[in-house]
Amino acid sequence: MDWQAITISLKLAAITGLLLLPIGFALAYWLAFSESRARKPVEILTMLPLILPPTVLGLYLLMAFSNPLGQDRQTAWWRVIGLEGLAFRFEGLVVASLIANLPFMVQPMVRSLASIPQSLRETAWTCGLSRWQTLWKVELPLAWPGVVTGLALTAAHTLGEFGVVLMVGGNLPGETRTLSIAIYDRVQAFDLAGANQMAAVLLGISIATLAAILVLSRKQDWLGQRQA
Amino acid sequence: MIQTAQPIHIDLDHQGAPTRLQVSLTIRPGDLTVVLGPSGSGKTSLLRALCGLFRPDRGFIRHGDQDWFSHERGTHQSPQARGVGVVFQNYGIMPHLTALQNVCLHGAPNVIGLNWLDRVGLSAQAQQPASTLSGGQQQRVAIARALAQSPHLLLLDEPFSAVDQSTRTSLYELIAEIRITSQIPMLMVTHNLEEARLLADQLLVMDEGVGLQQGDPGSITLKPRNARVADIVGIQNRYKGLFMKTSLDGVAELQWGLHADNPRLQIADKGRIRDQREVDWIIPAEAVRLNNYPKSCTIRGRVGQIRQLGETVLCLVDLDYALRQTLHLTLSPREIRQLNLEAGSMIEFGLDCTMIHVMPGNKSMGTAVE
Amino acid sequence: MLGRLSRLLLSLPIQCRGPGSLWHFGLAHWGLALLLSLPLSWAQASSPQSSTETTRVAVAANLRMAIDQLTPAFQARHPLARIDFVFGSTGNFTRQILQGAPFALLVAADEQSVEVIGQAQQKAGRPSRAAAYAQGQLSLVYVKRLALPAQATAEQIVRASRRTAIANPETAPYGRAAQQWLSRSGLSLSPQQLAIGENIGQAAQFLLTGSVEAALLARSLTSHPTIQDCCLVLHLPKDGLDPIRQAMILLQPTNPTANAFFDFLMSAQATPILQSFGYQRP
Repeated sequence: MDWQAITISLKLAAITGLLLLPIGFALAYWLAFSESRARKPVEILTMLPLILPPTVLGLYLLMAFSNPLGQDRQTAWWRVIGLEGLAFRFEGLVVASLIANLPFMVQPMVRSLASIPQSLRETAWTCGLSRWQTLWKVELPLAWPGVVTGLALTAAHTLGEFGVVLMVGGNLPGETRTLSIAIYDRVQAFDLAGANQMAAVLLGISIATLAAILVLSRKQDWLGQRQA
Repeated sequence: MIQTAQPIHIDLDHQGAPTRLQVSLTIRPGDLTVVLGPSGSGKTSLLRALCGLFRPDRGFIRHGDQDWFSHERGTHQSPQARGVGVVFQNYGIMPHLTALQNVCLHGAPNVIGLNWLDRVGLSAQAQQPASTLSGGQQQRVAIARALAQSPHLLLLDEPFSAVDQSTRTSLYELIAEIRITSQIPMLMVTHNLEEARLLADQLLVMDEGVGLQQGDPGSITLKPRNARVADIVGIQNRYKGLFMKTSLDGVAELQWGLHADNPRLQIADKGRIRDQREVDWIIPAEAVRLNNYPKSCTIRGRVGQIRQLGETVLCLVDLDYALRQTLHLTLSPREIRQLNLEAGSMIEFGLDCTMIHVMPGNKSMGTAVE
Repeated sequence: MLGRLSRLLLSLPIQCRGPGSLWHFGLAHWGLALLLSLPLSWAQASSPQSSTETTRVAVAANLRMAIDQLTPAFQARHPLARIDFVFGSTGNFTRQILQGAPFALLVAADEQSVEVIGQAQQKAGRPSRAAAYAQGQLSLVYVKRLALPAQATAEQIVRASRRTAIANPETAPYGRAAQQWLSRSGLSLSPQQLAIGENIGQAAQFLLTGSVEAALLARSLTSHPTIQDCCLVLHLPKDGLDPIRQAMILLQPTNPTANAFFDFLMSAQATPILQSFGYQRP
């Protein structure tokens, strides 16, 4: 049992989830409530990682991240902002994971926020609640199932991510060898027993995540209940 | 707790999306102003403009000497800043909060919230999740919430449309009580005729985004500005006619209907309508007399239908004299028994022609013509 | 534990409604994220020798069995050294190294890759050490259930198999050698008859999972008990084929552990171990 791989996988899932939560929520809020015409294009962009084959995404990220050996340093914009050198590092996996999981975090939140009746928000405003207070007291509690779902889906997806991780991270133990990569590695080492053990762990975590979504979103589903 | 209430002066002119809105109105403290009109008449736009959710093109909304909206000065205060209490059509109850938390949503202290819950009769439900309350109870929580923030203006958007009759009655009483005790200017939007007539101190009739007529309900019912107002206010006895001046000063003749052979009634000539003009005219309910009427203004007819509506009876009378007109009579069951009326029986009654009200012929919105 | 976790998550909306401010929640959230973002030093600290950083060595897949035997011998001489071996195809590693992968040493399956990397190192102004450490051999492994006579030739075996697996000729030197052998033996296999593994290890997996009946693997892999259980092995002669010369290159010349392993692999102590797996010194 490769405990290092399990640790890396769990850390990746946790960090991705926590970092993506505020970013995803802000984006989801804008998508749910904005009247701007840019809404549809932006929504399609956030869905893009969903339909992009993981290897394509991995390839583009690898090209952006790599720190080439023996080549002249080119000043492309991503190099300037410091993305260079993220390949084969855990931090590179985090960045790749943030991009790949954007739709999983944003979509459930958008659905949840958009299902809040406009009259509730307007009621809050006429009661004197500022936009921030409305967010805290009204919108966030009512959209909570979507937030939880987004978080859980992101975590589950990150745990299972393979193509992007392999491309961007390589297979470096203790750095970028996640649980799914480790399983692949064990299989190639003729160690099917070890691979099975770790696969069972991954399966267990995925089922637990699914159960958590079901339980949590049902309990806090205020909007599904009868409303006036 | 009672602040000095200020009147709200409104003058709006909005021609664009979503709907047209053209209204000029003053809401006085202690008055309940009712906006009456069919769906799509702009009532909701007016309400939204008042609470700050909608910004009209032109005009102003002034609270005392403070501008809530002024196109000229470029001000448009947010809903948060205006202090307007609103009871929306679907109540806007936060399902994830208790009744008390709903009432205190704007940050009022619990003691005030509990006080208002008590006044609406829901103190026992204070800690109950609001989503478990019935429609009527949620309605009352919404009212308590709007009032607990000591608003400068109270807005009610069709508040009684989804509520049963007994709850409605108790809510009428509640509104009446609040009106007296708190002196807050109140505006209620409805399409329900009886409610408007029952509750309004001031009535505004709207149609297609325009304010057609405003005043106390009694005078509008007696003297609607035009046929459209008469319809909205629910006057049933409206007819077309021909206005003819006579040689006598101050006296005119009104031909009932457009057929030249139809009988003529003698009415007052106030000098505002030209001769031989086609008009709409109405017979207010008070003008029909079953007893003690002079023989000169007698109408005879045959009872066509009798319809029982709660405590009153609607009688549709087909009029004699080759008129193909119907008169709607509202009688009490006692009067029906007294006159021994049933479908097919003849009926005779008197008409007070001084109360007949004549309006200009087409559905013009504009100048007031008596 | 799930119950506690779910209660914690359920209580969060209640805290939303309470008087606590958005700032506190946000602060706690970012604090947690920052804490988890700390470098993975604690994950590495779980390994016994935390004082030295782990040296990463990329090794061609065909040496997997050999490394298992070489490591104890190496550790005996250098007890404090800590090496993480990563196995894969030489071509893949070459690409990754050229893109900056942090390996200290590449033990490849051919010489071309080492030359390419050596040139890149030179351009970057970094000295490097390279040497050819072994010469490998190709073996044909086939499942016992083919039930062929003991004197069956390699060509007969391949023809009797529905599908044969090789490593990817583009990235694995043993794949190239296998392809060369196939064409020199006059065996032209259609794509349906050929299964291409990402590296030697995956080609072996095809065999072990029964997707193919035969596979052309590195000789060094054939001694693994799993292969011995299911299959028969035929070592292919070297004549007529280009020698599979395997070289290695030091990428971090200042890394003492990498240097030590380099020297060890070239030393006389490593020779018998290598030879037991069918490698010869070049």
